[in-house]
Amino acid sequence: MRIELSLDAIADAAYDTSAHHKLRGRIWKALEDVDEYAAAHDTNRGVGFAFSNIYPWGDIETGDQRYLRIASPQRSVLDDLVRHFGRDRTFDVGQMRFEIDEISGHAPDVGEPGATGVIDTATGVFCALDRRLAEEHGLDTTKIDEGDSETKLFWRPKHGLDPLQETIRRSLQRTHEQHGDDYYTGPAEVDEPLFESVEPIKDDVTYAIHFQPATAVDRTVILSKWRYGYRVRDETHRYHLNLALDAGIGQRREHGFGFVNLINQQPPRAETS
Amino acid sequence: MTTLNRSEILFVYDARDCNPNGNPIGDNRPRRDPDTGHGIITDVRLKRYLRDQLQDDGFGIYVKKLNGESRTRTALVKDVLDGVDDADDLEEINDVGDEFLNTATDVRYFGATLSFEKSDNKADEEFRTALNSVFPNNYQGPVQFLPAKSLNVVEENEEYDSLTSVISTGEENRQGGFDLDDKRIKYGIFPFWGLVDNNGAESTKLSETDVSRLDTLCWRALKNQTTSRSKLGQQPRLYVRVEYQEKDYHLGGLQELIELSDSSADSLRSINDVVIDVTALVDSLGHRADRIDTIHLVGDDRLTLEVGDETIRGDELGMHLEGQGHNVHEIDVIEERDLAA
Repeated sequence: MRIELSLDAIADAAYDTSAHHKLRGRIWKALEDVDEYAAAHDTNRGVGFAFSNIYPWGDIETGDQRYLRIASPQRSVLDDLVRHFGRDRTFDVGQMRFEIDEISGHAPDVGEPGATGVIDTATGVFCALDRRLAEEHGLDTTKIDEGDSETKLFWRPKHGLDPLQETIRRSLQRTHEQHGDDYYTGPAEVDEPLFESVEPIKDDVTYAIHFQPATAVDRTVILSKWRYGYRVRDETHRYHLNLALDAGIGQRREHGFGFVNLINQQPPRAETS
Repeated sequence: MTTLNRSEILFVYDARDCNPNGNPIGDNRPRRDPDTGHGIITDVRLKRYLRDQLQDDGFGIYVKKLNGESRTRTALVKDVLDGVDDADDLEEINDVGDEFLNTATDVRYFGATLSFEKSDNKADEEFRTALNSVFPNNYQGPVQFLPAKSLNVVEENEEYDSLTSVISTGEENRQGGFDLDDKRIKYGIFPFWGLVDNNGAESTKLSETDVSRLDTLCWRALKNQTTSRSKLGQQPRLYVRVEYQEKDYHLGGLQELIELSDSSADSLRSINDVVIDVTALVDSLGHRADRIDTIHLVGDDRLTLEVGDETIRGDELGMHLEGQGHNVHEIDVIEERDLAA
């Protein structure tokens, strides 16, 4: 499930394409008073949320209306965000300054078994392969050996789709274990793939952006955007896909990467001969 | 038309951390019996889920919103009778009632009121007169549900603070909009009782296929229609349709034959805290076995049931009843669902 903030711009500003860290900071401001979240702030466990860019893109003029979506598999996280944003409607992200006008809640659902649809990544998928995964897929680890990219290798098309899909499965599995419904089998515990088809959204497949994961740390990261087609196999698969909608895909989702939207959904229909 | 057997339905679903049925007169707070504290979900709410699911499955529906807006009965009947705009168009249809009932699937189940609004416009008034001459004032629905009262006393989420000034409930047609305020119950488990009346079936042309469709429709509607309009957090747990052999016989009050077991947690927060005692239900069905044709059922494996001294899962109830000599049809809600092309 997700909430959407409707934002009124209160100042002119250039659109900041690398505002991930500041945006995360504003969301965290809404969660920091809750001990449970504060304890998770600097851990790998995280709270379990993902967020979009402020959209639509483009330079901002006073009075413009923009939007932001925040998703989580845990309704309590969204409840706490709503309570905070209801009280504190100031929404400043660096030079981009807004006031929250409205908040709405949505629970997109991929549909029951037999339903088909399309899921798009709205923010780039972060995929840094560690040595073990790189070796598993027979990739050149020279850059890791040289200490480049923090002993990790950003995924690129030459690596093939398998390591990227495996990273997505593993990170979603971790989300399932931490924040999911343990009634279901996890996404890495089934043989079938999460998606039926995959198409890159960007012509060059990958692109680079500046990313500041902490104050005074500035990095370039390599991302990719995808359009996924799906056909729901069973209730477990439905749960996996809905979990991806709620938690995002890939790594560093709580830093503003891998947020996804359900673009369309067709319910199942009778087979016609 | 084949004469249907009478059927009685017990449909149990739960609601966790949501508002399963707000009362518009009471600030949209969850409905509760003020004397007992038990939660209430109306039959109207359940029938809305069923209608929405029928529509998603590709069947024609009479009682619905058009483009997200409530419309007059005249507009709704025009929508069902595709291509009919005036009195002349009506005359070209051989049997308007048949045509209407063939398309308006929900009317075959639940009936409908068909008195049409007066109009100052001459052509509209002629159309209204024509409609009134071809339709009865109403169709009495052969499928009826009673409002459900929760088995447990429900606790309201008390963290309500006034956020309505900043919250929009989202547009109807957006993906699964849900309310964000705190007018929710923490947990409730609700048994619905329904009847498929063989005597009323003929007037709305309810067919055997329509009745069988209920076996998958109820379950799927709760799975698929509760992601919208503040209904997130509801799950079907048990569906039992007892199909009788004798024409005008039914046991009655199946929902009164189940209760929360003492083994349930003191305060219910999820299905894991719930144990339902179905001993009286199983005994009653056993006593009337000679009058029962088939028991159609589906149960959730997360539901815990008590039968006498035995504890079983919801999905094991069919096997238990079979062991008692009943003819049991275990429903596969996906394999057996009926979808329009």
